[in-house]
Amino acid sequence: MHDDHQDQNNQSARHDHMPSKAEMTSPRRLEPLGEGYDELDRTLDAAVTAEARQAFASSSPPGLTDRLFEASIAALADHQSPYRFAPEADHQRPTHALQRLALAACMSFAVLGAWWLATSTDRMDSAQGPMFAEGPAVEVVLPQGTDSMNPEAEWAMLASTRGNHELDQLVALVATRDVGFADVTGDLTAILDAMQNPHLQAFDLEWSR
Amino acid sequence: MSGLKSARAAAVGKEIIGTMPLDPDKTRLQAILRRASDGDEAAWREIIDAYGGRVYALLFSRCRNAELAEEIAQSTFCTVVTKISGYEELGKFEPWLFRIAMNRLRDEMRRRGRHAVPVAPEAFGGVVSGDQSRSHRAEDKDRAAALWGAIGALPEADQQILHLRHVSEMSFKQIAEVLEQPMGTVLARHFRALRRLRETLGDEGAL
Repeated sequence: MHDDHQDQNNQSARHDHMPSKAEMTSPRRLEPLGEGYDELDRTLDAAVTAEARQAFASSSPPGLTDRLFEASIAALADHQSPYRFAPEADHQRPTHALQRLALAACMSFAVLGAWWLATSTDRMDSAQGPMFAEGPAVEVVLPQGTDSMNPEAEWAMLASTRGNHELDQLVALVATRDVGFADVTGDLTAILDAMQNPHLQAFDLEWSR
Repeated sequence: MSGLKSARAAAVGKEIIGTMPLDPDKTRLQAILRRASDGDEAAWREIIDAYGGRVYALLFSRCRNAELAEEIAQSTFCTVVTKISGYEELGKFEPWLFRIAMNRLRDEMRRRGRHAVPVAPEAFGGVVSGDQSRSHRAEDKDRAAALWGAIGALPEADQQILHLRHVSEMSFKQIAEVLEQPMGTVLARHFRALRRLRETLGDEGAL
């Protein structure tokens, strides 16, 4: 009983603050001009206001507010609360299980993508590498006690003979017939000795034959 | 010289705003908006009754097309009603409403490749009360035509201010909020607009 009475009081108090339709639609008092304007300004300002009221106050077509109300009232019902979802619409939202499944699928795709990228990078590296296979390093063992030059010295001799036309043939022999400089120089020395020593005619004969 | 006038107009405007009494309708409007934001159809009806005609009049004064003005008014109120939930009235409902309407009209005019048109002089003079003599009616019609012709010759920004003040009957503060311009700019433009009208009409012609 007490609550009902209080509600009635509240309701009447609330309606006391409600503007009546007449109050809301009554002509407004135009903001007056300040002291910076002279009398002619005020007269002109008032004349413009009067003309505007005459011209536009009655310009609204009949039934305008009804049509405005009908056009917008449906939206009022739709937008009265930010939490206006109907309970039966909840099942249309994705469930937690579905969300987790989608997350797992995304993660799987990401992992697969990363794996594919990694393997394709390896393949590309191998494809862009040298065209010949690199075999194991072979150590050349020279017989001990010979007077042959070591391989580094041989290569140094070859390099130093480039551009020297007299030695081009010698370089070709050294490079293609597995003959060392020591062999060539030894044979050459023997030939020169035989040519200069008359007692070594056999060599000369053998050579000429 | 014009800068001095503008500064004086701005000072005058500040003085006006400072001495303006509080509007008792504000608390009423707050209550209605609160009810409307809760989905009260009667409250929404009151808002439309209060502002529908004013919004339409402003739009019509700017575009002179009754059909377009009503279409944009509908669009404006549909926009407002979708955003009114949770709206808290801090004295800016009117500027907000009229700004939406003005922006909609501007967008539509731009889409149609048109500009706001000054009201045709022949649109006035037919609403004078019937007890006036025929000569008085003709005189009023000529005066209205001259006045609106002179307003139509003003720059677009000045026309907007005059329409918002005299057709929508908004305060300078509200006009500044609608146009999103500083208060001093609005006051200076209004001052200049009145002086240009006086120059165009002649001091006697305006009276």
